[in-house]
Amino acid sequence: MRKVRTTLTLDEEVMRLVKVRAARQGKGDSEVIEESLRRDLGLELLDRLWSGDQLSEEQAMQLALEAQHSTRSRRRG
Amino acid sequence: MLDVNVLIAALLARDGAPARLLLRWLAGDFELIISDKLLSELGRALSYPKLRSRISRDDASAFVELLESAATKAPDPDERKQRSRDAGDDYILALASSTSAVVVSGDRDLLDLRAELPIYSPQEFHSRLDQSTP
Repeated sequence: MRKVRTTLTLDEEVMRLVKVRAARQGKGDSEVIEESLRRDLGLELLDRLWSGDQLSEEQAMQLALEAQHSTRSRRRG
Repeated sequence: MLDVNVLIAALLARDGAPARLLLRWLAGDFELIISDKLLSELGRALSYPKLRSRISRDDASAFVELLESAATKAPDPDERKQRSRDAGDDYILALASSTSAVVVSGDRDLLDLRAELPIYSPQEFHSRLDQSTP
């Protein structure tokens, strides 16, 4: 994915922890910040889910509807 | 509001309109309304055995937690008026009505009510967002 350069203003203590984590993990500050943001924004979860075998949009909706309706019926029954 | 089927379809197909809607919500393009009933239904549906090989229990829980933390939670209305052919959809319509939200669904029972209520397919709602976003 294309990277963009940006300027952020962060709390001094937060930046210190970013640098500590970056040093411990052998990563750059940007990588640590991006990983945290991806986790917080839910992108890490979506990346993981979307890394597997993907269905077509139509297949996905059919399976989703089946899951929704089957579990509704089970609840009522 | 994104119906449970749209939320689940978003997790199963990265390139579909439901997934694009999920990303647009995360980017702040619209406010997503959820409720206790919707989250309960989502949790039950995510435990459907055929989904287990694609969405682990942990990821299902993490997704529900993401919605709880980032979406706007509204109280489920007491209203029990039957509007949809499937009575199981009525809580969604009642919630949409009480919050003045539109419903986005892939369910034919709901989409057939489009003439009377603000209900869209994922593709239609995505197009509307495109039109309203500069």
